[in-house]
Amino acid sequence: MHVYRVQIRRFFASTITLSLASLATFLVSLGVGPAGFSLRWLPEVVSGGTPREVQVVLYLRLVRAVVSYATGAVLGLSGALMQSVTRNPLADPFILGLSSSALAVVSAALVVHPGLLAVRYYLMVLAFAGALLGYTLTVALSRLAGGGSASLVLSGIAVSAFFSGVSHILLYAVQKATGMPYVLLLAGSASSALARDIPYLLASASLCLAISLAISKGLNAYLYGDEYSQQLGFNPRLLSLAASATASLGTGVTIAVTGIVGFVGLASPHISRFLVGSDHRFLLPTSFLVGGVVTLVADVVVRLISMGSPYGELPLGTVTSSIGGPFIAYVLLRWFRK
Amino acid sequence: MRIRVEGVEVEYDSTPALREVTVEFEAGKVTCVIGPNGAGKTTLLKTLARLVTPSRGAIYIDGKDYKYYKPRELAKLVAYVDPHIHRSIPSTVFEFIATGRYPHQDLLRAGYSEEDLLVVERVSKELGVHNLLGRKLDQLSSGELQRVLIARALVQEPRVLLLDEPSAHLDLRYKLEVLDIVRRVTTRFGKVTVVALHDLYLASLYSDLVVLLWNGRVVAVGRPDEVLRKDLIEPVYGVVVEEVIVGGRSILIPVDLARSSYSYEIGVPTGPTS
Repeated sequence: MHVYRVQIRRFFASTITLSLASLATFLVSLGVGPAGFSLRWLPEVVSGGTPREVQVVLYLRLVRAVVSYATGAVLGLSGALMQSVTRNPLADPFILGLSSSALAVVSAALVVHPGLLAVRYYLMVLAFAGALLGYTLTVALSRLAGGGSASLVLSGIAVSAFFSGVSHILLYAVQKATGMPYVLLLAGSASSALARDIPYLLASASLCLAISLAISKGLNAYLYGDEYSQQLGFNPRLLSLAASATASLGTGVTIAVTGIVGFVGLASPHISRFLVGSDHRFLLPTSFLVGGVVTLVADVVVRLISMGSPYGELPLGTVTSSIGGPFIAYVLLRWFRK
Repeated sequence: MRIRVEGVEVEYDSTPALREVTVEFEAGKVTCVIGPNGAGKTTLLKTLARLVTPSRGAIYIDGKDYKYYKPRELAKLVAYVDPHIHRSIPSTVFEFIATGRYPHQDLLRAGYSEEDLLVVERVSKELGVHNLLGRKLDQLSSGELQRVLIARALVQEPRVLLLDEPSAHLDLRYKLEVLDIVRRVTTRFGKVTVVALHDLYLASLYSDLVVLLWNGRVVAVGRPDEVLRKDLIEPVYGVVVEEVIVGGRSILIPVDLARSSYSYEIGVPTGPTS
């Protein structure tokens, strides 16, 4: 069947293109940073003939690149899951309050015990619980308000605003205790990520991707309604729970490592739908790759801007929000013009 | 195949929607469920699709109780055409129709098999939606969507086909075409087909059996000429009807609201008082 074969071809073409783009962005990201070493050192690093400081700088850049990419990939995936589970094209972990609530819980934990900043594992678990709390509150508030698409987004904004306020207050105290600029957690940054965060981040990313692919067929049916998926033999409650828990896990883990990186979760699924359509078997892995590439590009932009800036490192979220703001306007126009 | 509904009662928040419904549906026959708004037509269809759980009574397929079927097992047998699907996230007609193959696939199968694609192609050609497969669902007219919904259900290759108002939003020609396809599929493949309809004339044209519901109760079951009678329709719908013979077939035409002979509150018919 022609339509299906075209869709498969587009999926493979997108996967190959995005993988090549990922690799290219990785290489570029190794050559950009405040230390000023460029990629011309790379062959010598591989052969082991470079000065120690160059090796250290490139290693730090590699860590940062992996963290940025994995953060974006997980957020892209979480955004696609959120949009499907709420059947709302404006949903993403940031808009639905998951990010802010996860950060509020992390901030509260850091106020109580600043030393936790070095034990990311605990922060990830707490952030996961915080994201789940935020999602539950948003859905509950939305149902109380009538349960439509608009009420879901407005509930998310209310929950997000509340927890953002709480996070601001708490992060002032965290900044005092740890010396870490709180704006980096509030608007996201991969600069403070450590190499030991990577295994947790990659393990969570793999787990989220595996669960998402396992429920992808169910989500295809869920998209058209609870009863629709039920009459095809799926359990809509279980699907909804699995998808929201996976999105919360992904969001929580990224909050614990990089802070809030907004709008990647919103934009990635839309870009992916444009590339491969709405079938979750294609959409979810594509959102994963798109999220990774977009965030890594944003991190490279952050580094480029910060290199000549007298104000130091910019948060990653400032760049993703600058792209995400116009994007949300585009989605709104497309949605409401129908 | 035979489906027997036995003493089924359904409640929504302790408000009864179906009361002691006992009726039988046979393979190869189209049964139309008629009745005014709120009579329980959709609830009966949803109960047959096991989307609603009865508070009392049971449903049997060839003697086996519905509740013993696993969800995927039942999905292979029963397809329900729900006119209200979500279309807020854009997807194509193909993506939607092809989901009908899921009950027939292994859970771990990643893509559609050649057989799945052949079924989608055959059914979409039969229903005239083949040229719409690449279109977005939210770009379809109401009539196109209705045909797509039915195509999706047929792709499921069910033994039991449940359709809720399949002729809604269709023009005169498509109304007849769609119901004609439903009838053809029912007789050719020996399906049990239950259709909820508002249009009494279409019910008389396309049904082998008519079930008249009122306030959640079965008022009458029988051949169209046995049920679509002035003395049954007038009290149930709260209107005065006239019987007209067209092409040797009796048609009921509403001429006025019933004012004197029935006690009728808007939306809640209370039945004949005289």
